[in-house]
Amino acid sequence: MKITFVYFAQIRQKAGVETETVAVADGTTLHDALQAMDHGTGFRELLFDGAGAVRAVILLVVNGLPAAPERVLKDGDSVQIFSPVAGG
Amino acid sequence: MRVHPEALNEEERATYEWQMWIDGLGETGQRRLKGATALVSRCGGLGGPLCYHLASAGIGGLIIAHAGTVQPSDLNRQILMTHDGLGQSRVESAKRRLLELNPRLRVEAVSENITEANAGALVGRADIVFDCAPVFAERFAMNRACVQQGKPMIEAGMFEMEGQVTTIIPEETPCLACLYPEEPPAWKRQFPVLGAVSAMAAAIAAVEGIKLIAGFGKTLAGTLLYYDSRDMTFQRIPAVRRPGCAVCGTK
Repeated sequence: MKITFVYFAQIRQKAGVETETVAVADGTTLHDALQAMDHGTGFRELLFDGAGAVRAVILLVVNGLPAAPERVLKDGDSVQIFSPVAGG
Repeated sequence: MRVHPEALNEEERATYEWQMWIDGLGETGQRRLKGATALVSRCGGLGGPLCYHLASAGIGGLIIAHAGTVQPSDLNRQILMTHDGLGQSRVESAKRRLLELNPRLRVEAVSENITEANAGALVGRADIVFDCAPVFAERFAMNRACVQQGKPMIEAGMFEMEGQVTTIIPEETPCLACLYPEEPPAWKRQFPVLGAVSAMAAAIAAVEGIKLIAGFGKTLAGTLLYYDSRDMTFQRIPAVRRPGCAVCGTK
């Protein structure tokens, strides 16, 4: 299956790309797809806590709606990943 | 939301004529704006233009909390600050500029940032709160005080060319701790942003507050509005309450 990922804010900086399409196996969860990505230490530290879970401050959106990391992906899904923003 | 409307004089009717023609706002909404006081945390790239919009729209009072003095790096986005004010108090610069625009405005300039120690008292003196702060501890303190006191909080932020706004209504919508239950790792108070991009978030936040105070339109309560000005994409994402939220979970 092919899944499109779009990154926003700080996580976009760490990913080094704005968007990418990734091939994953049937039954892959959102968490597993993100764990398999190879965007370096900064990306992983921003996205995952020490136990490997997606941090609670990261907003995951699939096809326009909030989604849990356990969500099983489907071919053609569009995943957006938002990291926190602030004033200043 | 609870506001005590105040009567308008002829000068105010003349000043706000164009916006009182807006269906739903009218003189009733303008009187509500005059009777309202907003707390704005920080008057920088987000809070500065936000205060300017609230002042020009005829809000009655602003309490602005921001520590420190004007720095050169403020001037790409903090439109209430000026070159001749470098080294001077940010809130006093903001107060001077706002009173030039609207001399009727009541401005309380608080030359400290919001903390757990002062959040309750500052929120208690306001009808509505605008979170324009870059530091999460400050934002969390305001959020807790707003939830405890049942005060609405307009939440806005930005990063690089992107921005986000939502409206938090205690007991109705997710609170800030539902969105961010912990301090984000590796967050830095200083981050890349263009002034016009923070001003976009400020204008949207100001419209949200004005609608809530005046009592018309539909707000972003329960919705995150996210924009990416690189391609001018605007997206609405449902905001979800977090079960067991440490701040609003029992409300």
